[in-house]
Amino acid sequence: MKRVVLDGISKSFARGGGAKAKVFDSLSLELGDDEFTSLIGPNGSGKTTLLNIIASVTRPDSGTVEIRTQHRGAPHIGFVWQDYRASLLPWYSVAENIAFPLRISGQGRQERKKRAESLLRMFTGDVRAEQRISELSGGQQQLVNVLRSFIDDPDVLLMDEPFSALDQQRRWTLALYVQKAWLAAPKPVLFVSHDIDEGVLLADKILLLSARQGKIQRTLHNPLPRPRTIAMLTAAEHLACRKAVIEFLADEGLVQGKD
Amino acid sequence: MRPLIRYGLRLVGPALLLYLWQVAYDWNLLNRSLLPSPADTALRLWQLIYTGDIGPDLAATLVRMLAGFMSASVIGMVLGLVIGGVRPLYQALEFTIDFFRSLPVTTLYPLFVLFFGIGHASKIAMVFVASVFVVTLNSAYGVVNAGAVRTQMARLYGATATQRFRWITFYDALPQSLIGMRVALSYSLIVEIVAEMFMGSQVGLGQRVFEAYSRYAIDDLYAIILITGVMGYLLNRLFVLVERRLVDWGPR
Repeated sequence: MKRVVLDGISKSFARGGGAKAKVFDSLSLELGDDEFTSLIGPNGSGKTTLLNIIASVTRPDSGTVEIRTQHRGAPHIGFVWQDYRASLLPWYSVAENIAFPLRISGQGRQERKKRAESLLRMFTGDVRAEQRISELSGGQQQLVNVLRSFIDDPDVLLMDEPFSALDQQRRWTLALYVQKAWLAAPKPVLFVSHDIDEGVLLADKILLLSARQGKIQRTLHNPLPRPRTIAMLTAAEHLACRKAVIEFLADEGLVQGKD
Repeated sequence: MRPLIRYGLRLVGPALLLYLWQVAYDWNLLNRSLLPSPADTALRLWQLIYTGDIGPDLAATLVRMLAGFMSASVIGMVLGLVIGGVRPLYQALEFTIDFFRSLPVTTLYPLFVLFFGIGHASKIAMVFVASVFVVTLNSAYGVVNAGAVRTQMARLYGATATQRFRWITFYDALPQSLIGMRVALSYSLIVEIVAEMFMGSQVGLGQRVFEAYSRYAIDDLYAIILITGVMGYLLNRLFVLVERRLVDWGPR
């Protein structure tokens, strides 16, 4: 059985004048145990809403979300927000931010510091555990966000366009950090991206979410070996996936300049 | 800019003012019985401080004012955090609090005298009322405008309402609460001085100003005004220092 299963999800939002906008119409999807899945779709196709439904921030009108947890009690969910500044706690140190989920579950200060520091050391020597958030660059702040999402051994990891506020170079650095963290502790990931290359390169499976149909229209597979590298952006398999994504987006009316 | 030059530039304003004062006195531009010379004022100022004459008044004003201000800050912040955290409560009370914040507390002067008499309690109560609403409103406002993503984040990682409040909402609302307190600090000094003048008082800077005015002791009047001004200035500076210690994150 898959770790995360969504079945028959429907969701509408109220529009002005009593009208309703249908976002999902009986959408179903599964995330495999150690599978990195990207979700690509035009604006307004409800990518963020879908993440929020999985995280039970938003309730679907109908349908079920099942997350098989390895922990006692409620499933642990890791989440990386696009707006890293708004989701960090600037009044705490880097270590306290990374270990915040542990603080919530009642772990002691020493334990939190130790876990945050060991995670931090895996990735970068530039960021010190006792630093303030305001002293970090945007990329470093988002790294703190990413590490926080990993620290509590989540059953599923949800990433909502995590790098779109960063410049190209930082974006790739972070993308490879995410891959590294994930390879060290594999778990189902649903990664929403606006950037086609990024979404394809990181993923085993690429879900194409149609705004018109309100469901997953197509699933692509990226068979390239791990770890993925920037050089693979020009591999035939990558380009084939990329082509399929672009054709899908064109079909959705994105390339007509409506975006 | 070099520090020396920067500090030097700061003295330009006071020096200019002093110069104009001297010129106005020398050329008799203003009635000399209304404007003493800077030298006479300085001498009186020095006497007031050196003899310790002004000490009890300074202390009395400071203590009463701070008693009112600090209790208003603590109670106002707690009230604001609670009101801001419970949305229906905020909607129910916002208008009322805004009304009392907008009502000049000096209008209530007779009521304070009737309820509390003319002693310390009455003045402290007046300072308290002048300050508490602006702190409450700003704290509540800070909570209402606290980052929604942060709260969502904490909720997602399983934080209880108490944890969210202690680790997120409190800090998120702190800068706005402090803005309220800074305004309240200015109100406090104004109201304390005015209360001393009108309620009458044994000691206090406001009382001394009024007393100097009644005796027509113009040197005293100017000297005490200067002392009060310096005290207000130092209080504000001190508050900014505390504020920077408390809110030591992010861009200011």
